[in-house]
Amino acid sequence: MLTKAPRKLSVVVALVLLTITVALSFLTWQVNANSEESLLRRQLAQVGSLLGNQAAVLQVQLSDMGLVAVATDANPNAFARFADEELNDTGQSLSLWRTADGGAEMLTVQGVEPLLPQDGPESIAELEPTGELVILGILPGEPDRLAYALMPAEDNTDLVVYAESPLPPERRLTVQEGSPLYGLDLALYLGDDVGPGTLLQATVPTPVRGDTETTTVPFGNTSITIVGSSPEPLTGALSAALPWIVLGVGGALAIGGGATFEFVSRRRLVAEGLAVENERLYRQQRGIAGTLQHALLPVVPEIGGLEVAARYVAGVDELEVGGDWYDVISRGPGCCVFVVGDISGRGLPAATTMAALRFAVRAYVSEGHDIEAVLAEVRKLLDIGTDHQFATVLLGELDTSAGRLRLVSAGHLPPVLITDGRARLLDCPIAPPVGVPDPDPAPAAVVPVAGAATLLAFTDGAVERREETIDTGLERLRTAAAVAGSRPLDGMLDDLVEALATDGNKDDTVLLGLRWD
Amino acid sequence: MGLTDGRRGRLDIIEGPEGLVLELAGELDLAALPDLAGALDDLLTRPPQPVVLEMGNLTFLDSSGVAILVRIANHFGQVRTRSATQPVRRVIEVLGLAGRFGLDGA
Repeated sequence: MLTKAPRKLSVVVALVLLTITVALSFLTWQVNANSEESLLRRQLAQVGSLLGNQAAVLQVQLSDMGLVAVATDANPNAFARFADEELNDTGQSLSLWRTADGGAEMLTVQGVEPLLPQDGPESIAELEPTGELVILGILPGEPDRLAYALMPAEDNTDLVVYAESPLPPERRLTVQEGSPLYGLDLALYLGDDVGPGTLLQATVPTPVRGDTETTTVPFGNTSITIVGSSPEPLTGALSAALPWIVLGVGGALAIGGGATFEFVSRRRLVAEGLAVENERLYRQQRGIAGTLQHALLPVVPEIGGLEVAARYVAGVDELEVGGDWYDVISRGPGCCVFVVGDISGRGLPAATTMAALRFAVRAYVSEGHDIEAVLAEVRKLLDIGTDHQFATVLLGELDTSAGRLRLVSAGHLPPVLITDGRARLLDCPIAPPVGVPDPDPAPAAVVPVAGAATLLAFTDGAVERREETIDTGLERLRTAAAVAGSRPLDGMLDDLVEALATDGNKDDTVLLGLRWD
Repeated sequence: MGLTDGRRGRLDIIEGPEGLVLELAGELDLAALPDLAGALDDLLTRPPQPVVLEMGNLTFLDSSGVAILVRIANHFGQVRTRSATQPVRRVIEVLGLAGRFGLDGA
């Protein structure tokens, strides 16, 4: 079963579910990415505030030193004492300068000797007495240093506090666990430009990789650009994994859904296959019943001056062999005795009774009895009280040279006579069926049949339909017989079989046609 | 018989002041025979007496159904048929059994 390719619909179902899953997964990813982005931005903002604080601290330190210098009229000892407290880091340089006429003179220095910016003391001389931290840039050295200065916001002062802080080797910043910066890949750049020349510090080799966020914070008279990314999902491992979980679970569901659909539709196909097989077996069974019935029925004889044809049609709903029969026995050229009969009930009892009656009729007719006598003899063979069956029998004696038809009916419908495109149901007294006592047998009905004509005898399957009176069925048959009457006998019977079969004929049907000129 | 399907054939035996009334309903055909077997066996053990066949609710009758009615009629002797619909009446008539079931002149 699994070797077959899946149904198209199953694939479609799986694809639709898969598409929904991918869409959901994408949405989850997007939501997560958005949260990730906003979280990172928030963390960088925190880093920014830290840097801002640091800038404020530096400004306060330098400002304090400057105010002390102004107050002590640039007393080197006072500056040294104060600066020494601020020198918490080796490699720092703190110096006090006096500016004059576009130049500057270093009054005292604490820590290491300053490297000074490229323009030398002139850079210091350009400062204004704003009391604000001025960043003078990164100075190349061993190690590189960040230079900054401040001129106290005092009237008539010419003092400047100048500082240089070493940048860490490789500009690498080591962040302690517990710090807000911990876990982030960060790079701090001086100013707005991001590049190796402006890099102040970084926790990882630059440029920072991954989904980076950038933020800029004021730093003295310039700014610091922070570039950061998070190597670990900030929203947590579950959030980051959620799109994949959705994709995985959804994918499995989609495939499961497709497979289920496939399974169900295949089960249905198997069921349909079984139904078809059952139908075939049913028809085969029906075929067997039909074959048996045909075996029990005679081959129509060849009689001079008479054309004879017969049809046996199995009812659509019946599985069992029926009890319908016909027979034609020659009595010389243009003369015959014909019989059409129907045993009530179905199955083997009906078929065996039918066979018995058929051969009995044949025997009595062959002995030369007239049809009234034949019927009387046949009546002795069946008793409904013991056999629980009866038989309807129509016996006809046709003598075309005399132009005479004699009929006796035991519960059987009379035949239809077709002459010149007109069809009529022959009038014939109907006695009780064979099997039911007939205390007062009527003589045979005599119908003159001069000239060419076609006689159609039949069993009730040809006319009996549920939910309509039998007269409607008789009229339908009569009309159809009139229409088909001009056809060759075999074709006429085929036409009638077709016309009657379309009306949901459930019972078995025998049609016997006799035609003469 | 406890059948809920209104189409299935039913045979109810009613003993009234006018004698035995057999109420036939639904479709009395070959398919109904197994359902009616019990009622029929019960019926055919009763002594011969006049019987009325009430056919007002009989919607379909075929030769197998008629065979049952003939057995009933033969057993009880005198049979009268009441309120048969035209299709049912015609089935009995074309079988040559109108007289046997007391349909003549009804």
